Amino acid sequence: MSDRKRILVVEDDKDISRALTVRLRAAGYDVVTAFDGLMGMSTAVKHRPDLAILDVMMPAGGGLDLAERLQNLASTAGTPFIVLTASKRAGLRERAMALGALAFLEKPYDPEALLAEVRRGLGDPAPATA
Amino acid sequence: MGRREGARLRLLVVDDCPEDRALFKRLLRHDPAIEVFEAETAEEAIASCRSEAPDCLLLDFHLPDGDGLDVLTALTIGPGETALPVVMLTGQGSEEVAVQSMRAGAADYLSKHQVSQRALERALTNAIDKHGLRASLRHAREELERTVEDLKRRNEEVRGFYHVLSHELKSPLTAVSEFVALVLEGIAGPLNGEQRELLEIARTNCGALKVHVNDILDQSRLETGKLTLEREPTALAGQVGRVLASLRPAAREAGVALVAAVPEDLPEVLVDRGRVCQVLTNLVGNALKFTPRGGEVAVQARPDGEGIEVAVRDTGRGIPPDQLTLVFERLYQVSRDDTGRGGLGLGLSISRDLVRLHGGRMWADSAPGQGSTFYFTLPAAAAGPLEGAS
Repeated sequence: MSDRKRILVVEDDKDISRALTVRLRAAGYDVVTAFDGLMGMSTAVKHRPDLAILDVMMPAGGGLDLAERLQNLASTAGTPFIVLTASKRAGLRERAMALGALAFLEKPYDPEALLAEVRRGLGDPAPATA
Repeated sequence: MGRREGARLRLLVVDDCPEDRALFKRLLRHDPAIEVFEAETAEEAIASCRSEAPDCLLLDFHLPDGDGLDVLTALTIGPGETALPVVMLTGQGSEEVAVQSMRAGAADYLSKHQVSQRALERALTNAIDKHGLRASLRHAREELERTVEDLKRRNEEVRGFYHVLSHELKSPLTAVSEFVALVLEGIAGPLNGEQRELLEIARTNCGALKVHVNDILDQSRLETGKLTLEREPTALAGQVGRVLASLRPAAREAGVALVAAVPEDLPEVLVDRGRVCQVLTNLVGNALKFTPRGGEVAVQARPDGEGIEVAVRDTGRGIPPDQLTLVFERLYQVSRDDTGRGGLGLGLSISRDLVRLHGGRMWADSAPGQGSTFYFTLPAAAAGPLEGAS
């Protein structure tokens, strides 16, 4: 087990999941992935991530339902999470924020903004820019 | 339309007076194509209409069990329209009855005291013609209503399709732009100069695609009223600065100077920052597109009544007067041949709608060869939304 901080990515689109994984690993984080709400739940319990990135629209329970469950579970309560979505359906942002989301980002997301939120959630300093 | 010469006509005569019925039959006897049925009461008339299926009704207003209006009511199939043509027989000087009958759907009326062969035939022909015209008018109207319904439904389908389409495009677009960015950032290993240059082109095009996909989504949300604003008090200068910074590379490449004159001490506006940046990006981006090398694009702002007026000025070729309002129409675009630059033609229409949603307005001012200026207003944070969004 490394001392790197661990991020759970729950995203049903395998390519976007891969892109997030590559980017987060390059930024120095451990990444565990899940592809639906149910799997996200079990992965979170098993790996106790320091932060979660949740897609909203997924089979077997969307990201917001998952966020709610994680907050209600003793072992995962308080895990900071970022919500990622392709949908601008009214009320989604409000619900995400009410559940305590760190940020609500729309796809196609800005990678810099995403990393900035991740660092903020983990209390990590921004890297020195080259 | 109407009754052809010699065509059969089944006529139902409704009158409780046997002498009158005999008179009508006699007057029509010369025409062998006319077949006359008789009824004495309203009830009998209605029953006969069902069983005998007459082509036309000659109806006395006064009947032993009611009046002609009762029969008309029973035959009514729509507002002022009866199932078959009816000529109402009225008493002398009873214009009131005639008017009532015509309103209730009678196709013509005839005073019993003026009955002649000619008058009777004319009334019948007139009634049949009129009934035919009414029926075809109704059919045309129904057809039109069906067409309108159909078009509405199709419009909904197309709208829904674009909505789904733009959603479906988002995931692959996210993946493409992310992988391009990852490689560009050297995460997958070092890049040589040419690889970097080629990937930068891919990145720029991903950006254009994002704008188009978001435009389509915004358009469908604006049309269905599903676009909501998240307003907060905002200093405009900061937003203008952000937008201009993001467009500076494009301006440099186009050889166009990009300047801003937005006083720092302007009152704050109550706006959705992302949306205001979108409007500014669209207007400044357009200005850059249509300004030749060596020209200038300027963003200015000043207090205006209850809010702030923003102007985006360029030194481009200008817009002909007859197109100044058209440019805000959905799908409007300058012809491709002309500029080599296309687009979906949604940007200005979306920008105007976004400004309206804030309670402001947008307009353009231009003269060919003199450049164009696009203006919009935004509500001040202290004053609340502007009145009279147009």
